[in-house]
Amino acid sequence: MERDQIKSTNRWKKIGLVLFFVIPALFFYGTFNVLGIVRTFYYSSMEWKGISANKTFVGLANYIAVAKDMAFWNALKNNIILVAVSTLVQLPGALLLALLLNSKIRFTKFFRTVFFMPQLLSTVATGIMWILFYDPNFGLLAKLIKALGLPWSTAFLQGSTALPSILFVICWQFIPFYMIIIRAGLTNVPEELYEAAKIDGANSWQCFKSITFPLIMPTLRSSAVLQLVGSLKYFDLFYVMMGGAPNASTELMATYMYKKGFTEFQMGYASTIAAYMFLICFIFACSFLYVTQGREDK
Amino acid sequence: MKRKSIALLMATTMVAVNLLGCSGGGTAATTGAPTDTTAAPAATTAAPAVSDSTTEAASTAGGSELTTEEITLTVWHIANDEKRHQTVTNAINRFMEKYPNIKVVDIPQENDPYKTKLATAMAAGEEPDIFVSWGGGWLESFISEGKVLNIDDKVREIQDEYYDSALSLFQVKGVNYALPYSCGPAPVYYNKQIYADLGLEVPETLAEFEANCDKIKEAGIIPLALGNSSQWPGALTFIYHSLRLGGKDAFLNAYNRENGGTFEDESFIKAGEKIQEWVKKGYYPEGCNAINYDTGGSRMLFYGGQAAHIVQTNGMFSNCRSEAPDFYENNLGIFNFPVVEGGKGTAKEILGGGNAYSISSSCPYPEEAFELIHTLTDKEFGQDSVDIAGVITGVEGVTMPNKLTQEANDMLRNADYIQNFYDQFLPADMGALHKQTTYDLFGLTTTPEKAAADMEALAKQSLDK
Repeated sequence: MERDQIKSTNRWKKIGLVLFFVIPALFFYGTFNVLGIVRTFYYSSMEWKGISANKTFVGLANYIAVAKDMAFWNALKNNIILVAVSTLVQLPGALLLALLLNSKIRFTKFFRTVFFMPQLLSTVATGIMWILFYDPNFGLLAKLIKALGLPWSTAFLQGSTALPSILFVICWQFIPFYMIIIRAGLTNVPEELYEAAKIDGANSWQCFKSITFPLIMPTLRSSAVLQLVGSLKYFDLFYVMMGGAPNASTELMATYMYKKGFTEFQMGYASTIAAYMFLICFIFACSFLYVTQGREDK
Repeated sequence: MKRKSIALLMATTMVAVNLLGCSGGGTAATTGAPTDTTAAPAATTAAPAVSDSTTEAASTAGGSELTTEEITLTVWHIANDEKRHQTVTNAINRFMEKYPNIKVVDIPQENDPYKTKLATAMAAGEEPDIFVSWGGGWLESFISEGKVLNIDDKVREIQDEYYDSALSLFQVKGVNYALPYSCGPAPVYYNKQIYADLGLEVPETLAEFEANCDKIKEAGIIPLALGNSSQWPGALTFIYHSLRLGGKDAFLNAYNRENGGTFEDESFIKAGEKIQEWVKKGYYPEGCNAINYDTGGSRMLFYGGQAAHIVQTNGMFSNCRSEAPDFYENNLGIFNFPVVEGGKGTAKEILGGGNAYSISSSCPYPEEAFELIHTLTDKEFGQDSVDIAGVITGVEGVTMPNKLTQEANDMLRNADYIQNFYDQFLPADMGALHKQTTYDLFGLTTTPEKAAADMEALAKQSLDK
């Protein structure tokens, strides 16, 4: 009886302690995430300019308008391209670099620092640096093309070349981030497995295929989810490099939302775009996790 | 050990990423609330607002009619570089000396983030007492939401102190909501050295200008620098062409939907044709749509003598002065955009823009706030502004320190009409489309007819209400 009481007070103490540690995080998460999302859905049902408190309830009218808006679908298409490039280029690239750093080559620490540098720069600085790099007259790339005498146009940040040019910068910036995550996963693979495999006569490809890859699968999976969601809500480099995506070829959902909300003062409409983005990210992430879960259980 | 250090590195990165993610959202709290009134019990008798008839006396005679309570006024402005900020600080100090009971808090802001920040603050009801705008559609969207104080009567009383052209730039439907603190024409800037070397004369007509450009091109120099990545720099040339061809009425009729005016008017189509003609003749640098103005792509071409002209806003003066002081001293010249023979526009219609102070309708001390914006834009400030920062302000009686500012000021004073930049003037969605269509004209990805038709289609939607 007494023992039970002690047990229960202990449990309450434990819960209290947990709450004590969780509450600050919960407070910020609640205010800035949960509340923000709820209010987004609330605003999305309003016709609202975002300047004064005058709002009119319009129900689902904004949702229908966004669904009919070709500019939104075009933005979504660009986001999907970004997702594809992120997962198909960044992840293998990051894996390759991580494996390189993990292999026993010299100057690993040096390379690790150098490879990680792009991630340390602020995005705005990165964007401006690459704008200068891509400048049609003074840019490094333009000079290179002219020096080699290639008959190419040096105007990169316009028309059909703008999107690939920015995608390249995004890869440059984010590969190091995933490289570090994957490398952390790699260090968790027990050394004994490789030793045992070597004794059995496995070559390095077999080692990678049968030991490394399956064991870092969870890391890859969470990287892929991060990339998926990150790419769907991506904003900054496109905004910095294309001045708020003036041109439909580089418009993303987030830049379109910003344009509608803050330059055209259609905050209700922008909130609806945000709501769609939330739903799209949610559905994509859930289905991705669901599909990859099965494979992992095997 | 190794694992631990990696874990630590990861943890720091994640924190850093999270911090970066959050950094965009913060809005500084305004300090605009009046200070505690109990601090000045003697003030109660003077507290009611001054009547209209005494306003002039109050604004000229030294403010005995204004409140003697201890109050605070907040000003948000965008004079954030050192020199321009200096001029604002000087004016605020003069004001606070005159009215020791009024504390002025000024918060300088970055140009582009400011637009977002003010809109957010307005939505939250935390706007400053005094804020800066560019006039036109942007200001109008705040006015239509009842956020801006109508100061028409007070401005009319002191309107002789400012150029008509400067005031007209910030009127919305003929009503004054602001006092200008910077105002200037967008001229054609040219390199005097290149003109001297090639023996060219400053052109007055478009034909003369084109003849000059052809000679410049032959000499292996780019006639016109342009960095059109952010879309507005190219739009200036489009506006000038249409202004010269159709006069101010072509645009005003199209905007006001009167006298049969449309955005498919001949002058808009011909302006588009002219731009494409110039692009095809090679008047612009390669890939001008991909050159970024903000990072200096087009200005470097101009300063470096690789390009002979640049059509830019009056902001180019202060840019040039700080980025290429030698060039500013020796090589920089300006002329008014050439007129078209047979066009309806005259040289007295110019393109220009500027900034002005407005008062929030929520400001509890409108009289004091008006006195403050008067001090922030008066003759003394105007003199300071040209002397320290080289920025002309549209106020009468200022002595110009050099020939360049004199020329720009004359252009402003002689003008009988200033066309504000379309993207500033038009409602936001039309402004965006105007920039998009001119960008496409420069990129040769649309036709002048299609660009005009697109504008007219949107005008029918958003102006014909």
